[in-house]
Amino acid sequence: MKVTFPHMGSLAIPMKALLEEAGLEVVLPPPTSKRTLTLGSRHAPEFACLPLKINLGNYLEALELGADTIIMAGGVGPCRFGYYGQVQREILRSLGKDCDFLIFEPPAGDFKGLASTCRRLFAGCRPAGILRGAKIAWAKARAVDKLWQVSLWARPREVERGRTSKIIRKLYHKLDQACEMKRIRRIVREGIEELKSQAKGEPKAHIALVGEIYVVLDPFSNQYIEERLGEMGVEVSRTIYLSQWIVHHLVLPTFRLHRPNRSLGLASGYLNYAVGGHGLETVANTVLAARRRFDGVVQLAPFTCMPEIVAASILPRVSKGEGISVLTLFLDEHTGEAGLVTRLEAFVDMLLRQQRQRRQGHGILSWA
Amino acid sequence: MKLGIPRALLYYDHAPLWSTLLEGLGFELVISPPTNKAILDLGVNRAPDEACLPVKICYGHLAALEEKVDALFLPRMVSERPKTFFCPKLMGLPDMVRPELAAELFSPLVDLRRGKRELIRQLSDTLDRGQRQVREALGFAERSLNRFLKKMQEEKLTPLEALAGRSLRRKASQRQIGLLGHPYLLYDSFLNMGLISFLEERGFFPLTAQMLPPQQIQRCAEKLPKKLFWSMEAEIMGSAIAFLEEQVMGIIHISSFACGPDAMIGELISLRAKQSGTPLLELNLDEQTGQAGLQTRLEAFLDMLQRRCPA
Repeated sequence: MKVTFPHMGSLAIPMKALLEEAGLEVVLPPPTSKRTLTLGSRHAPEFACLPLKINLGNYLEALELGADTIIMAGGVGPCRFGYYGQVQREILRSLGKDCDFLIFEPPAGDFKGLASTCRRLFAGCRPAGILRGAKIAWAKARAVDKLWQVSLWARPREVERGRTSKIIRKLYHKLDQACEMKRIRRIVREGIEELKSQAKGEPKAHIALVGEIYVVLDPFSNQYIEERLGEMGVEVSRTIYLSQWIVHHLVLPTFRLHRPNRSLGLASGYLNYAVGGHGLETVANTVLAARRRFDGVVQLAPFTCMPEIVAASILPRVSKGEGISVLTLFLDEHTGEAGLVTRLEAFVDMLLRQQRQRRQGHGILSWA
Repeated sequence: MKLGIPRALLYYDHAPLWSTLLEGLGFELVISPPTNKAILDLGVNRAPDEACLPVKICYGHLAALEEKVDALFLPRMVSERPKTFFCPKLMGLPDMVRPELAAELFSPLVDLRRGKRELIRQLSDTLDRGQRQVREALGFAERSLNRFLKKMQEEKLTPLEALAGRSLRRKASQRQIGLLGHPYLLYDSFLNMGLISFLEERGFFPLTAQMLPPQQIQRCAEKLPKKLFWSMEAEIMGSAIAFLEEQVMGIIHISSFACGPDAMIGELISLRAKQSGTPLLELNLDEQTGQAGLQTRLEAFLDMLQRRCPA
């Protein structure tokens, strides 16, 4: 059995650790590229969202490398992600690809389905290996997020353009190789040190990144927006991290320890219902960013994403009501680099102008 | 009190339910006119660009009503049965439209996963009527909805024909065409440019999900490896499989541009149609759809069906 799974940002680092420690052979899909996207868009439904298309491209490239079992997560709706696996499986079958497709459905009170999928995947693995894998995977997931968070802080302050991105790539590579808890801890400690030591300047502005989880977490699908903004001198705060998502959506609900997220209440008056996906979070986090005096908010969403369309249609009102500038970017396979960069530059210019005006005490737009 | 109901979205599914209920509670009802160019333009102007055509149309109907009524009625549709949802856009719609409206908006939460008692409480809160009164009126309303559904199914009528009290019993013929899609696209003859009468004039017999027994649709929908969690798409998917079982001449699937849930089941439907060798025409509607283009495609499809099995 040669196992593979789709990419989502740096998901591969903890996932690979989990599966390999458990004793499975893993075939990683090549890093997501233009080719991946082309392959995926060719075979996926036209109006499916971007993540489904990239996933499909990942599978096709992994199957080329000899993978024979695909792992995917499921869901209970109303976001389309919950039905990705089923549609992708039928598309692969219609293309004549012969492979096992294991879909991990959230238990929702019934553990039988989940347990039997686990048994199929880990058949013949030693329980000790699985436990050790889970422990290391969790440590790596936290490490990846911690380092990323520090890199977002460091990038707009870096003295040498592009240095932070180089360091974080090197650190991720080291993390991927590491297989002892002690080593992981050391990489994080030294990594933070290294990232911070090369940061001297001050950021020009502070932007919060909100939106749909996949396009926020996956730099390829959002055209490396965090790097681009950072190198324009903007500090980016991301509202979603993988490890935090795992705790809130997988671990706590499974043990019925669901903690209501108090900040979601901030959206009330604008959006009064959880519309699936990250729609409500997007609105709430935009309000939060305004209250915390960020300069602006960038909303990322795949084209045709239903929850984010609801959020996007409400954000202009939040922007007016709370006094914060919002840029909404819908991404799909046609998103071009130049168009995106132009819009980002214009947005940042506008934020800087607003800052100057605030400092000079102008309430109104002027040509100064 | 004058209450406006938009002739959009779930109107074609639930019309008698809400009208019986609200009239029973003493409201005077105003239903917006059938979609026309002015309503479409109003909707396109007000709605966000990324919204789909049916949502834009709903904005238009609400705008056409707002001056004529004291309040508008647009429930927040979340779920009509356990473990299913409506599209997220329907869940968020009241919050999306409210600030744009000149009239007050009544939007009770309709989430039947929480049981009927909760629905009654919601209705009584938003409409400012006693719970007992609502319970009684809701009982009547449900019966009238069931009569409406049964009439469509037994006499093979469209919702508008059933509402108008027509009782022509359509003759079933060999030349059946399965029509797939959300009722708000299938039965809004402005949006689909008179699709149903177009088919009938050319001697074809259009069959829709509303004309099939619900048990058959449900049985067919359960053939999927995983149950769909959108109730409307489960109905479309189930009727698609039922049409293939019934061996219709061909299937026409109408969806709106960039419809999220339809994109998923569209793929499953086309794979199944291909397997069974049934011709499938997929039509995508948006505010730019032109009549000439649509008719050309339809005529070509019908010609092809006729060549395959001459009457």
